[in-house]
Amino acid sequence: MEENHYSAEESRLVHRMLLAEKTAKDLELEAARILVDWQIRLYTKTLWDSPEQVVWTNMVMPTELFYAYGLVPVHTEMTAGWMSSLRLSEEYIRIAQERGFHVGLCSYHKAVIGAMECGDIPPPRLAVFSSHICDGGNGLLQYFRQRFQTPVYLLDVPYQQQGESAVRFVEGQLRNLTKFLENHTGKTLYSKALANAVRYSNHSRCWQRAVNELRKGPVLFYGNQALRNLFGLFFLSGSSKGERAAEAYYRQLKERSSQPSARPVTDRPPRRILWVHFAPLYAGEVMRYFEKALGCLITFDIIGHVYWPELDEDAPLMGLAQKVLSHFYLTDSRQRMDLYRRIIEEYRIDGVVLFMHQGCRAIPGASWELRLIAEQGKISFLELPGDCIDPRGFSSEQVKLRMEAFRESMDLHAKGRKGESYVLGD
Amino acid sequence: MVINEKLLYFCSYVPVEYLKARGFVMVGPGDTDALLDAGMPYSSSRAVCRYMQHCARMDFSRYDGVIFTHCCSSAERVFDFIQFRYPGLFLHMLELPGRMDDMGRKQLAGEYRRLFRELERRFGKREKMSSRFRKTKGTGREVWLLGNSLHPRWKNAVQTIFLDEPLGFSDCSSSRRGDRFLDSDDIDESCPRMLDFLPWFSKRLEEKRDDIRAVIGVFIPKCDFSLFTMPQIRRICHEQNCPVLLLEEEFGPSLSEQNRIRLEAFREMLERKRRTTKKTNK
Repeated sequence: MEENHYSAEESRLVHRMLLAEKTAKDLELEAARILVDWQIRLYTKTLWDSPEQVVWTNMVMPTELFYAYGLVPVHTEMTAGWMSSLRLSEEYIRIAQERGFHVGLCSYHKAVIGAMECGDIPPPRLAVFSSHICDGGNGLLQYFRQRFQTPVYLLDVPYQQQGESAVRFVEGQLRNLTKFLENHTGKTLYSKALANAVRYSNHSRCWQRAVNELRKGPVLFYGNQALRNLFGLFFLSGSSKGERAAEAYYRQLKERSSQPSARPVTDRPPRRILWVHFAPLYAGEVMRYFEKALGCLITFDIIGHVYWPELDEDAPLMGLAQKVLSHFYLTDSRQRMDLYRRIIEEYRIDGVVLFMHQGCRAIPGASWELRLIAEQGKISFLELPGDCIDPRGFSSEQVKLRMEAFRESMDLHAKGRKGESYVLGD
Repeated sequence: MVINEKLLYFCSYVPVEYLKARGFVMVGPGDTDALLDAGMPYSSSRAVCRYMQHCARMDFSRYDGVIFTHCCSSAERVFDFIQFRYPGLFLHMLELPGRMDDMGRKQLAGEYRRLFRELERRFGKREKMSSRFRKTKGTGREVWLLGNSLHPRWKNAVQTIFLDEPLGFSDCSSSRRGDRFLDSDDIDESCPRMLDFLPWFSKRLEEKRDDIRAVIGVFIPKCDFSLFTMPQIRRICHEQNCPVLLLEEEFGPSLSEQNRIRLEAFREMLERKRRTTKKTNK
């Protein structure tokens, strides 16, 4: 494929991003403003002007190593999220399906494929993905390599192994990754740069943990904003900007915790919700209805959970290997269920919503764990089927109806009618 | 030596014949119809692929152990559930390498050592009997049928359509990849889960172009690896001027009527092509 086919001037994504820039200034959370500002620059400038700096990756791949090399990671999930928010995903997904990609594939990946196929984003020069949690990452790498001859690297993560040999195995792959990056970028990894990236990452982790502590208290903001924008903090792990955004997040919430008037207002008595998985990014209005009109405040979302231990500054690659292996979807069900129970207790959760993203096998495939916990703990559980990126087939009224029924079930629980458990999805 | 431990397995990378030679009774998912409706509870299983749904419905109380292969998230979820539901059962997750290069081969060899070690720890040391594994030879020009998990009866149904057309299967339950690897670790095999699958497929097709008359790709709607590779397979086949048919079929014993018609039409097209080639040669 000829590279000159791709131009920022003709990209619809770039045009809409520039329009979004104007509204981004109105975002309530400063951290979200920092992240969105960075992301807009990434998609409108860096991707086009400095493609040699860009490495495509996926959400569970640790980014510290990329920042240490002076590279800019671009996440497929974040990219597709923007496409959905900017109402472009439907068109891109259609294009991908016309090229033979199956309707059942994850829409995050199809949206990115469609955008590359039609020239709205340039093809990747380099791609490094991790194999865990998401099967589509591997497929996308194969597509990149076959379609654009992109050099690709897959970090192969074993399942349910956290012992020394597993850490050594992943660490060895990270060491090979440094050679791969050096070969394909011509850059050198300086130990000082890696130490700095690890330090930034650890600082950011501390701020995020402090934020999560604050979220155990009164609800300080509409949690949908965290689902929509603040997962971007993980994409900046290892960068000074990431540390700055995480600190801003904490400081703003800390300030709010002493100002009750700055907290979210709801039309009905508030209930505290744990949200599992991402949310539909094209349906902001429905999410606002859930929180404001129904009073179901997203107190905590599982994607905000800081699951990894502090990185060892003296052994950074080993620390990154431990980070990868500590993901809670690589542990057994009992450990994961204990984690959910702890979150439900510490965040005083009234109800759990699992968004069953079509195309995802890993998280919806474990929905029985949450249902069992909800039954045992006598709390409401809503299994909400849908798609985070693809708006086709989404009915806001149907979803609202399910959300209303879920709210009613929480009210029944609050009235003390124990034993009533409302579960959708049967 | 009479040992009756029964082990379930779901993937051709499990060295079935080697384990049989150690006295285990090996049972594949297509070997039994004894399904139990008390598998994965509630509606969770709809997110995982139909093959793993099928596996999750098996009556695990009949077996002494299960050997999973870490190929996808669906396998992880079923592994979790069985581990939770049957805490005493021997469970092993065989890790597959991301690519079959030197590193991958080393990793796979290590994985087999780990499997044998864990089996020994659980069931005691086994005297290794001689392997009964025999390599099967190719049949000359054949139609190459590749997919993820194909039920043995489904394969038989397809074979009845292609009566005089030999079919070569590459799928999760055929090929005995594990045994072949242990016999000689230079096996030329890959699967869609591996990063080098498409280059391997392209090279294999090119090298054996004279022996491969056509390609039929079959995929389960929820197997991401196959879904990603199928459009590329079609492209590679077109580039190499090889007839290709892509089918979508859920795992199960029966061949859908819709796919039967497509297979019959494809066979007719191959026959017509063969007749035309013969005439041209005359």
